[in-house]
Amino acid sequence: MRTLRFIAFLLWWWPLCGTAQGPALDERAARAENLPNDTAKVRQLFELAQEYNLNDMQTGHRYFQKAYAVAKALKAADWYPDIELAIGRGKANLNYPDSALYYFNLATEGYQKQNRPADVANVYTKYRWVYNYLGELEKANEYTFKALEVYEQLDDEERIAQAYYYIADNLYHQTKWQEALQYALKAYAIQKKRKLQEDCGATLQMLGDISLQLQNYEQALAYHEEGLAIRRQLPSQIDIGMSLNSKGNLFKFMKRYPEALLDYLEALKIARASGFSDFELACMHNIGHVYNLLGDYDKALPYLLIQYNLYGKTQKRERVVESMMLLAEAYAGIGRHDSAYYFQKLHTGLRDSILNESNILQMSELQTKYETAQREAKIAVQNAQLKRADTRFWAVVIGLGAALLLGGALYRLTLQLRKHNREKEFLVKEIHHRVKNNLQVLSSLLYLQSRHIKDDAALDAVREGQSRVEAMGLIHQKLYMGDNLAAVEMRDYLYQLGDSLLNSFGVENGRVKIIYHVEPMHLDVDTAIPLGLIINELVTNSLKYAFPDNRAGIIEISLRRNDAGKLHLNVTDNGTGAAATAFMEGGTSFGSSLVEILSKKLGGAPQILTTAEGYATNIEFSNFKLA
Amino acid sequence: MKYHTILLYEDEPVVTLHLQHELEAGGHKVLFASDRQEVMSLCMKYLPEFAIVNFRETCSGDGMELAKTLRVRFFMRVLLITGARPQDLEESPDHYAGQLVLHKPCTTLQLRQAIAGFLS
Repeated sequence: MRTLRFIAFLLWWWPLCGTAQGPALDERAARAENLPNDTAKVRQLFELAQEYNLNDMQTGHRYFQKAYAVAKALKAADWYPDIELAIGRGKANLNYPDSALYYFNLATEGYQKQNRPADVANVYTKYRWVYNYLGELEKANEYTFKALEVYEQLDDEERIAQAYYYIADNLYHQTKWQEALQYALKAYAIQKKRKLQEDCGATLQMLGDISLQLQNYEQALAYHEEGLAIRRQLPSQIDIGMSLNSKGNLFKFMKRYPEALLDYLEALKIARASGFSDFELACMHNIGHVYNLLGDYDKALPYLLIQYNLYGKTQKRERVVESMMLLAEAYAGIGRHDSAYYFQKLHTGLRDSILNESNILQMSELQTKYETAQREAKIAVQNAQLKRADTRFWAVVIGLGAALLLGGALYRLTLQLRKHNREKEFLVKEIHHRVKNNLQVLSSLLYLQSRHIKDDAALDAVREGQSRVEAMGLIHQKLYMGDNLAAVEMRDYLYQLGDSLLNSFGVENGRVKIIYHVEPMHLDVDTAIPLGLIINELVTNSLKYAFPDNRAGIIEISLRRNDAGKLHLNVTDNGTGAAATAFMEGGTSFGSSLVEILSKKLGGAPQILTTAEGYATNIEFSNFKLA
Repeated sequence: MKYHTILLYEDEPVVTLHLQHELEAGGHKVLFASDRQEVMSLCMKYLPEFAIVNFRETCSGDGMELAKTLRVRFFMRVLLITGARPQDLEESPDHYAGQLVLHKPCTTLQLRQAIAGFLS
């Protein structure tokens, strides 16, 4: 298949600038080789190579290499890309596609350095040949369109037509016959308008081949005959041979075997004359095939045997298989069934081998595809995982960002709250400070007032008032000593209250003692203040009435929580009992009222008892608050 | 009984009067100052041994600063009277020798005990 493609591309590229060839050319070559190394020698060798190349590619290629060696020795860089392109073409013709690509790369770089875009595009078309030959049709297309783009920029109509031709050729190899036909017609229209005979010959050959594939045989024949007629007026014999071969193929398809045979034979003659061995083999193969089709097996055999042996040397197994089949047919036709069997067996074996290889290759390809698919699936999974990880990462980043923003907002809020709290704390402190100051002022006022009162009753009233204020003041004093602004530690408070009362009544030398039975407890200020005032009244009452005439005695204050969960207050004295009388009979009606009112507020009622040893007041409070 | 000259710097007149009565009842001589400048002026003039100074919480511890100055410059003992809670004081008076604190509101007994302890 590759060989066929190669032959097909040769139809176009074969240079047509040469004229005669033979001893005269060899003499020129001998003279040129004896010249001293200079650029004139490079030029002469290059021109000689071109001329040889018209009909002898091997010799032409050899002279291109000689020219390149001299140019390299002279460091004549201007010559490099032209020669590299020519060598690349030679390598392609001689079936060395990798070498061809190497030289085309060099040529491309050289032309780009010399800023020769048209020549760069020309090399692109050569890449196309090679990639077509290698079966890499997509790359072939890519380079063709790159070339077309350059030609369109240069507005080079002739080259644009060439590019159309190449595109048609690419499409032909992709079996897109109809599309190929359109491009080939576009190319031919330009070439015909511009009278580009060589190009018209090639394009007409292609149009014929395409029409054959489209089974439009008459149209195909018309194209081939027109193309051949043009080419017969041109110097390239190989081009004529190519047209003949194509026309022969058409006749073969049309079952017009004698006409096909004539074309093939003429083509073979040209192939032999030009040393184009691949073409020669193709012609012999076709001739043998047609003879077989004509039933003229004796004539077929020599051609088939030669091409079979030569193809065997070239390792072109597909051609060898076809040759074996044709040989088997020919031998069977002449009755040599042993040979026919032999070649049939060879054909079957090699075909199976190729098929096996093909199957293995297909299996390998399938396995590769399967593994690739698996890897792709794995990659897809990994990509998905990466994507998920990526998503998670961004989610974390966004989350962190949001958390930072939220944190920042919370921090600001916290700062604001702290500021508000500080302001509130300041205000609270200030209020407490003023309350305490005012209580102090009130107490001092009453003290100062008492110093100016002569009336005993009034003095008592003022002093009692001061005592009450001090009882409340003590609560506030205690209140602010602790961390809890609403709690009062009662035992310490009552100690100080008692001492204060003893002092205010001028009790000296421990004549009257106060004994405390107070459970450790903290009471809420709303409970502590009325309770403090109650105790203040009761103790004041005892101090005033229970111990007349400097009588000694004891006052006991008991404050505890009883089993019923109530707060139990008991104030007793061992005095004369007059305290009880005074309290009950309204000795100080305000004091007793105060005790009753305050007791009621705390959910209790005072019980006053007189005893043989004095008096006692019991109160159970149910409405109290612990702190 | 020894009698002392006591500088009194209290911005509340009623309390000042109360203190004056208490101190003079004990036979002590009382000097009155209405501001810091007068405090310093009286100290330099009469060299009192004691001072009773209102320590106003709201004035960012100015009483404490004054107490320090009096202590360092005139070797005086200072009784600070304050309506502030102990935990709200910027500095603890206990750190300074010769300084006592009386918290408002105080009873007459507490006042007398504080003065007695202070002058002893």
